Amino acid sequence: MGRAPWALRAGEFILRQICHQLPAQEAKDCFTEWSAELPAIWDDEALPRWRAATRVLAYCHGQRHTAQSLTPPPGEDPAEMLRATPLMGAALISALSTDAQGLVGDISTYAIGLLSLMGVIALRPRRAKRNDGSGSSG
Amino acid sequence: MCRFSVVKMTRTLERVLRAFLEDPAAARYGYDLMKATALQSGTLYPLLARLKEGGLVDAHWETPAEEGQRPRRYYQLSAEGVRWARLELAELAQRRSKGGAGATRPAQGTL
Repeated sequence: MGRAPWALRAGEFILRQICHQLPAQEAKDCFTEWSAELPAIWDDEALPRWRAATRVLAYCHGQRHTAQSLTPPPGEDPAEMLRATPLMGAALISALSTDAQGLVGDISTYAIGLLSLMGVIALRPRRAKRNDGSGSSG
Repeated sequence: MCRFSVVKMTRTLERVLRAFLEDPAAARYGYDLMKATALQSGTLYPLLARLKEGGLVDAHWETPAEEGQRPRRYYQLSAEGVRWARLELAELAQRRSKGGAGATRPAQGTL
């Protein structure tokens, strides 16, 4: 089996990146659906090769907008606030202990470091989740 | 709650509905619809998603006969969607004939 043309490979790469921001099942369905359209565009006999390549890339670029419309807007997840608790705790301890550094000493420093680390881990980028819990694809 | 509340009648939607109604029995894939409507993927697919959510469009996967090709998703107006689309386009045509200068308004039942 021959190697796919560069435009298709580039298109698939872009689509894979775009789909990564979607919930897992939706990402799989969307990637399957959208990437299956690329050969149809590429093989469109009405288009010269350079235009087909341009259209493949334009199609992929357009799907960025589609993915954004399928992704729930940020800030709707109430668990986000819970995950931010360690960072807020670190900031609080840092603020309280600044004036009493000698008294609290290393314990607060370690606590700040630990809570900051927990906060960064908790708030790391992750896949979006559907609010309705259906997990159905669009 | 009205099932069509997710869809507003716009010129874009009108183009999509007209493309579907050319042959309501035919299932269309994404690029086919893009060519028929001259819409960009970033406009067409969110619209298809809303139509599907509203129960106006059905989508199904078809595995190509040729080996090595990926399954494709096909879209088709549902029976309810065909009725709704015909009604909406007829109302739109009526409004335009009354001198509405092609203005569109939210579809009936739109919140």
